[in-house]
Parts: sequence; C-alpha cells; structure tokens
Amino acid sequence: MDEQVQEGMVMNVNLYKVKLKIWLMNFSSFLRDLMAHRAAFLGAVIVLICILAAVLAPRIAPHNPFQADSLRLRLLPPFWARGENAFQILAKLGKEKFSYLLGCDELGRDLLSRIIYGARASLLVGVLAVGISTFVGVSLGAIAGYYRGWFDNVFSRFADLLLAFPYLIFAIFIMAVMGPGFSNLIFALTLKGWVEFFRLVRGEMLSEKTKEYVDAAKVTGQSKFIIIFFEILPNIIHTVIVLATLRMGYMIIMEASLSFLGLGIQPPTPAWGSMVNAGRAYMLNAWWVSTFPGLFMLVLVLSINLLGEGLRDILDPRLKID
Amino acid sequence: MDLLRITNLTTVFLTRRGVVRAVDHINLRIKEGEVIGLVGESGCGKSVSMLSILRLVPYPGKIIDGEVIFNGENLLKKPLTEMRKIRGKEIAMIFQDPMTTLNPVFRVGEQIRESLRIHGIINGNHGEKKRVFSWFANKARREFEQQRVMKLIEEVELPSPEERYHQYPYELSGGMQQRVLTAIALSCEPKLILADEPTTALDVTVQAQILELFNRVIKKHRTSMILVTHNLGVAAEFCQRIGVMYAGRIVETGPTNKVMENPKHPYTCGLLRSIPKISKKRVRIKPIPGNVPDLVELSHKCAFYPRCEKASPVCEEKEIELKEVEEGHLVHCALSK
Repeated sequence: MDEQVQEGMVMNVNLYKVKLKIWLMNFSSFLRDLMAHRAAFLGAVIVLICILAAVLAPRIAPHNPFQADSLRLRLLPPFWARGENAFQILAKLGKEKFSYLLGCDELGRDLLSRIIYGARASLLVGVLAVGISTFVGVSLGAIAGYYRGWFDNVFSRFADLLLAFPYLIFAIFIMAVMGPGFSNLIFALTLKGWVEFFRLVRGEMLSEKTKEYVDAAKVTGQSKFIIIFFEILPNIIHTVIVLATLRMGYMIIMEASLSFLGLGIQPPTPAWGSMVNAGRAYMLNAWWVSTFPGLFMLVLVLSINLLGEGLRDILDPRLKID
Repeated sequence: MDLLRITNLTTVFLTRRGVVRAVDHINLRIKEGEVIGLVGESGCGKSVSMLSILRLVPYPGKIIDGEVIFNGENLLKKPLTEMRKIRGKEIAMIFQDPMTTLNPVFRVGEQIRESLRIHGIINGNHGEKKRVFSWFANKARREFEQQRVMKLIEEVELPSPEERYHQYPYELSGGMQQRVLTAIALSCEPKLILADEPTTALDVTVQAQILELFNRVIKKHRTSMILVTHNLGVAAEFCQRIGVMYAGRIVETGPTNKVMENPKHPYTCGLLRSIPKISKKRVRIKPIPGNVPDLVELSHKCAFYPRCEKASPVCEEKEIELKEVEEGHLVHCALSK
C-alpha cells in the first residue's frame, strides 16, 4: 500500500511540474499574441495605466480634487496657454509656473486631479455594471438556451421588451424614478445591460448544446447543472469576455451621459460626465474645463474597445491551431 | 444470467408528419464478457436503440414500450437520478466522431478524471472503490485520481502519459482521441460498453489498432460490448454474435459464423452479396434494389417486403414472428422455417 502511494506521489510531482510548465507556456504565448496584436496591446497598456491611476489616485493626484487651493485659480488655463495674468496669480500663491498642469475648473480645483479621481468613478461603474449584467445575463441565458420552454419564452420576451427602449431614455427613466446615487446608477445600467449577454449566451447555447460532447457528458452521467455551467459554458465564455470588454466602454459612456444630465454621480465627487457638464457654461472662454475630461473619456473608451477587438482575435481557442 | 436483456423495446419519434417507429420491438440479450455486433444501414435505428438503453433519446423521441433489464433491474423504470449513476459507471458509451465528442476547451487528462470524479470513485489504498461525496476534491483524492488517469492513459497505449494528460483534444490525432474516449469509457470499469460506430471516422489502419485495443481491454476486464457498425467485416471479425437491423427491427440475430455463412433473412443475404470480393473472377456486385423505407408509412407487415426478392403473398397474410432456425439463430421472416 505504501508503495502505491509513493509511486503516486512521484508521478504527481512530475505532473505538477508539467502542469506549471504548460501553464507558463500558455500564458506567455497569450502575452506574445497580445504584443503581436499592436492595437490590442496599446489598448491594454492604456487601460492598465487608467486602472493604476484610479487605484493610486490619492497618491498620484497632485492636488486636492474636492477643494480649491484658492478661488483665484478659478478657470486657470492649462500650462501652455497661460498668459501674464495667470503667472501673476501663481506667483502670488507661491506656486510654480507649471503647477496645475491642465488648468483649473470653475471653482479653482485642479483639473488633472479631478480627472484622475474621475477615472475611479468611471471604471468602478463600468466594472460593476458589466460584472453584474454578465453574471445575470449569462446565468439566465445559459439556462434559457439549454432548457428552452416557458423559461426561455418568458425571459426572451422580456429581453425583447427591454430592447425596444433606447438605452439612455430607459436609464434616465429609472434614475428619475429612483433618484440619483451610485447604487441606483448601477441598478439602472444593469437593468437593461444583462439583455445583451442573455441573448448572446442563449444563442451560443442553442448551437452548442447539439454538439456531441454534450451527449458524451450526458452519457457519463453528469447532472444538467454541471453540463450547462462546466461543460458548455467554458466553450462560449470567450465570446462573453469579448462582449463584456466592449460593453465596458459603453457603460462608461452611459455613466458619463447620466452624470452629464445630473442624474448620475453627484458633485462634488468627480466624474467625467458631470465635469463636462460643469464646463459647458464656460466653453467659449475656458474650453479646457469640458474638453479634458471628454478627451480622457474618449481615450479610455477607445482603448477598451481596441482591447476588446484584440481579445476577440486572440482568445478564440478554436481559431488557434498550431 | 444475462447482463443485459432487452425485450420489446420500442422507441418512437413524434414528428409533425407522424409517428416514426425508430426502434420497433427489438430483443437482445448480452452475457457477461460477450461482444455483440449491431449492423444495418444508416437510419435503421442502431444509434437510437443504444441511446434508448441509457434513456437519452433526444427530444421528440419517446420510449413507449419494452423492458431493459440490466443486472436484474429494469432501467426504464428507474428514477432519473438513479439513471445518472448508471450512465458512465455501469454502462459507458463511445461515440462515432472523437473530434467532436471531446470537449475542446479542457485538457484530456481532466476529461478522463471528470468521469471518476462524477461517480466519486477513487481506487483507494486497497484497490476498493469508495464513494466520496465532496464535490471539491481534496489533494489526496486528486492525486489518486490523477494516478488512476495515468494508468488509464497507459492502458489505452498512448505514449508519454504525462504529456498527454495536459494536452488539448485538438493536439491529438483522431486515433489518439478515440483512445482517450476509450480511456474515459473504461475509467469507472463499466460492465457494458456501447460503442456507436467507434471506427467510422478513422482510417483503416487506425481502425484495426482501435479494435485490437477494444479486444484486449474487453478480455482483461470481462466487459461486455455492443458494437454498432455498418462494416460487416469489422463485425464478423470482432463479435461473437451479430444482430442485423432493418427499419427499426432486428431481423436476424445469431452467432457470427452462422449468420455470416448461413444467412436466413433476405436482407442479410442482400447485405452480404453487396460486399465487393477480392477474387480472380470479376463478379458484379448485386446491390439491394430500392431505398430504405420511410419509417412513417410502413404499410406492410414486413418492412423489407417492397424490396425483397423472395416476397410472396404469404408475407402479407400472417403475423411475422421471430423464429429460431437453429440454436441461437433467430430470424424475423415469414418465409423461414
């Protein structure tokens, strides 16, 4: 008996080594694919920088985003557009010429710091809204696609109903009913966001469940739950990952739109949408207040989309045959 | 005692066009360690009868009659949860196309291990089977399972098992994939293996290797097997008994050599005549005239009647029964004596 155990141990030490090696190989080949895909790599780098900035916001933000150092900094231009007047103000406050890099907003708060803090709101809303939508949509879609029947009918019709509303108007309606606030915002975005995932997973499930490996799983006596979530789902999860990445950009835009309308994240918490809105009144004499948050949003959403498109190319295991 | 006894098993598909009797009152008995070949042309109900044994007939299909007695228990009367414990553990199945039968996103070692895990089997210290109920396997258990998987991979003669364990299905050739499927089928040491055209998707040399493997494994574990095939040569070489199916019925069954050398049913005769022979004399192959009948509208008492060369008014008059023409050799034909 001892011998048998020993033999097993020896075998398994080997196994884990091989396993680790193969895992590393796979991961490095994934990284290599990502690097080879220029656009995806660029997107990944920018998204990574944004995430880092959002996480480390209190450390890297040069100024307090919630409170102005002085009201005289009000609408201070970005560093390259500063005239004599601006330099005088900075000199009086004892600041360097190039501090407040991107200028200040209508209340004299540093724009760059607010943008860095604003990334937190955007990313958090994006991750949470997409995460919850994915979870709900994938579970319901998988069950509906596998079982069909009344469950599928009820949820598909409900999904059709939700799809008939324009997203923004739907979200405005929900926010107007429930009142602004972070959790309400997530709720409003999720309430319609799951539909996309539901339809995607349901459709994939319909085609996937006729494959022979599903029969093989049944024949080995697996339960339906295991078949749905541990046999079939891993085969379609790459499409879900791609969709989730792409939806993330969309959710960020939605959050910004709602914040722009004053229904999303409330001031003084910095959010890109509400910053764009705040700068709207000063557009003619202080363009930077609106432009920079908008620009950052553009870059972030663009990179997320690039990353999503790239993942679509890289992640499909069925396209990758060496 | 018979390991599996099928009596009057009838499976129908309820379609818009009508009732399709895919499996029509078939009878089959399998002893322990016996290999039975089920031959017949495409669409004659071979696969459906295999799936009926496991009660996995796809949606519009329904088993309406019969008994499937396995180990003294009627599988058709069992609750579904009990059925799940039998699938894979007592009765395993091997499919036709190994490429699509393996889940493409999991490593083959894990797929073999899965079956062990589902049925909670570890061959523990003393080789006895233990049921372990926890879903999340602990380390010791996982190691036992992996060890067992390695042994299985060795048993199906795949080289360098440690490497194979961590490969994905697409990295293996068709023959290797079929070996993996065999390993999965063997993992719980089932009493019966249903092989549904296991060699159809493979080329001839690999076919021979796989059949050789089956032969060895079956002898070793005293496993019974139902081999579904439309290759009469394979059936003749590999099986002790043969059942010939036509239009959902088993029309002739008996020991291989008796069926092959002395076929009694006109359909079997026709099948054997349509195999090309390698001989000096060039002989024209005689195919069976006509087409497979539409199973919805079987108007005759004998499904083969419209195509049968020996058809006579007798066929239409009396009920046809299975007749024993010699020992263990049964024929479903009105003309046989």
